[in-house]
Amino acid sequence: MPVDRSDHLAKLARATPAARRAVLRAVDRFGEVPVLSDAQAMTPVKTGFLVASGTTTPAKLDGEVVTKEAGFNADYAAAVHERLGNKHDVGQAKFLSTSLQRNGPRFGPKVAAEVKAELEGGA
Amino acid sequence: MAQVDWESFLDKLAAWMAAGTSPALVYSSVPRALWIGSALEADAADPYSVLRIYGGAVPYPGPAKCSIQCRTVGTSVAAAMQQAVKLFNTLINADQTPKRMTTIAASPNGFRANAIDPLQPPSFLSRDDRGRAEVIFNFDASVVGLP
Repeated sequence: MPVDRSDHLAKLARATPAARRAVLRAVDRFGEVPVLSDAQAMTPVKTGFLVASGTTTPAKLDGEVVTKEAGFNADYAAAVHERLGNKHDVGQAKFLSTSLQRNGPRFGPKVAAEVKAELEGGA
Repeated sequence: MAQVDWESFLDKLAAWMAAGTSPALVYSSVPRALWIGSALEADAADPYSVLRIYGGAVPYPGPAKCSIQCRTVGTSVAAAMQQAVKLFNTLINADQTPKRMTTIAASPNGFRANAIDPLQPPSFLSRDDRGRAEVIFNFDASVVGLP
C-alpha cells in the first residue's frame, strides 16, 4: 500500500536548518565554556599575559562541517604549552590539550541536548 | 581495564622506535640519541630526542591509553627535524596511516600497541635557553601487555 511521506519529509526539511543552528550554537558555547575557560584555569601565570591571550573565534559552518578555533595568542604560548619539564608555580604544561581531553566526553551529549532543545522548542 | 607498566612500555617503545630508524638511533649506549623521561645532557647525542608521558601523573600500573610527547633538541634545526621525522615515521605505515595492532616487544613482558594515533607531525617549537632548536610531536598510544 503506498504511504504518503511528504509531511514527514517536509518536517525533516524544516528541522535540518534548525539542527544546524543548534549545533553551531553548541560548538560556539562549548569552545568558550568549558574548553577555553578550563584551559585558562590551568594556564601557567607569571605576568598574566599568557592567560589573558586566550581567545576563540566564532563557530563556522562550512557545508556539513562545524569548526571553532580556541587558543592562546601569546607568541610563546606553544612553547609554554609543550615544554613538559618546566616547573610552574601556577598552572601546568598542556593546559589547552588537557582541557580538550577532559571535556571531550561531554561534547557529544552537549550537542545532542542543544539540538533536542531546538527541535522540541520549534515543534 | 588492563593495566600497563608505562615505564616499561616507554623503554620498549624507545628501543622499537630506534630500531625502526635508518641508520638506527642509539638508545642503549652513549652518546644516546633517544631517551625516556629526561635526558642526561652529558651523555646525549646532538640532536637527541626524549619520549615522555604527559597528561598528569600516571599511576603505576596505569590505564591502557596514554599521551606521549617526543621532544627533539639539537643545535641544528634541520638535524633535529630530520631525527624527529625519522622517529615519527616509525609510528605510521608507508601509506601515512597510523600503525595498528603492532607488537612493540614480544612476550614475555612484551607490549602490543593496539593503536598509535599521531596528533600532529613534527613541528619546530622554539629554541631552548641554550639556543638549541626544539622539535616536538605528540601521539596517543593504546597498549596491552603481553604476558
